Amino acid sequence: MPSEAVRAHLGSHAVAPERRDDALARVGRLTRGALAAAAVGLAALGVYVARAIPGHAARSPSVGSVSTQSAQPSATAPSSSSSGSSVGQSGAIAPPVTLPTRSASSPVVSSGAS
Amino acid sequence: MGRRPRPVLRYRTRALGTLAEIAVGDPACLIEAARLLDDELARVDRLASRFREDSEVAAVGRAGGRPVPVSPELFELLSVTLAMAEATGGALDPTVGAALCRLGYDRDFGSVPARSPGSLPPVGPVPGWRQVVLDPERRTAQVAAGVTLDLGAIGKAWAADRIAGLAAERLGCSVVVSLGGDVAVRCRPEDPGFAVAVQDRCEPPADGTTEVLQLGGGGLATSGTAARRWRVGGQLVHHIVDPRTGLPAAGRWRTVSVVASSCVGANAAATAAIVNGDRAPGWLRSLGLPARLVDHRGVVTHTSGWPAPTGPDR
Repeated sequence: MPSEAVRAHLGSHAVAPERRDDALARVGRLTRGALAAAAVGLAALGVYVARAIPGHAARSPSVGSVSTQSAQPSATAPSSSSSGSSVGQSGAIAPPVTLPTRSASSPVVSSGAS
Repeated sequence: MGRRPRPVLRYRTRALGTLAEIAVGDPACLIEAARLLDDELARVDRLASRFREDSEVAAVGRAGGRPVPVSPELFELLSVTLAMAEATGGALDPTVGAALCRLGYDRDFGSVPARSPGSLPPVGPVPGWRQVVLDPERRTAQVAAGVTLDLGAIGKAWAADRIAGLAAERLGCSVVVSLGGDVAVRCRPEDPGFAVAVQDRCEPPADGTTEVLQLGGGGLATSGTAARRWRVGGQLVHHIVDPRTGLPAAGRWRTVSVVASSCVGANAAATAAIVNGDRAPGWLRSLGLPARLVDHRGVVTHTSGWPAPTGPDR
């Protein structure tokens, strides 16, 4: 709930606490809805985003570089569905659908602080 | 078994102040994947950069507390950010923008002076994520006057998820996207996934101590205090602000890597772990998140689900 000071800052446009809570609840529902869509393959979201982006013009990448690396299939590598959700149904951070495994392959990308 | 190594094509560029990469399982998809990456990164920069006066998020901050209509994409990003703030108990907070500016991180990081005079700002909490109000019916965003939103870290993770999802959907191939080390993977069921190196810094793996994981989906993110560092009045500072103090997080961990069902979730958990310090391993275990935490001496702690090392770990 916003403090009195913040509400004063917001002035005549202040959102009443009750309305704000209601809005947040709606956001929660909206977010869960959108992310449930993501959980089934980002299909719905993909369609929605694709519609929002007027056709990707056929322009060549003007910067960047292309390289080739070999990816060794791992005997224990997970074969998962093509999706992952941003947050779970309850809005919590969800663990991976399939756990990662060790790989002896050359990495394609790196995850490090940047 | 019996499958031969196959080439994985990768496109690499720079955007959002960091290294951006996309790799695809089907070589025929690479050109389209590269176009998509370039287009989407430009789009995300226009949405969420706090360093661009013409970005949507900057317009929200300039509105002096009034609600501002925003695009569906920014609304979604803000919604996800607030959900992550709540899920992390406020350890991840988008209202740290002004605190970062007071520390001197008020421009693209490449332009921040390595050393600046003066002293650290006084301790004080940031305004808090609950001061961000979204109205889904009007699709507006509203923040109190003086609040500066910083969507940098979570924005990159969200973009990685978004681009990977779009590429998989449109091109029908397996794809991995890395934006500054925030990695999102979408794989076709028949594909083995992608090998991803985990390390302190987002640089090409240079030695045998690098852990390499095989990911078949979801996201992997690393947050750390070893990158984006500068000095203020002789004090070394970094970019991960503790919302409780408004100052750089001073906890036990130098680097935290987390695997989750999405890059956004992994990023939020990794950042929250840096902020939460000693409490982080227990919190990550309670969520069932595989994680690798490295303290300031280089000692590594793993949580359940992270694959056991096959060789000496640091």
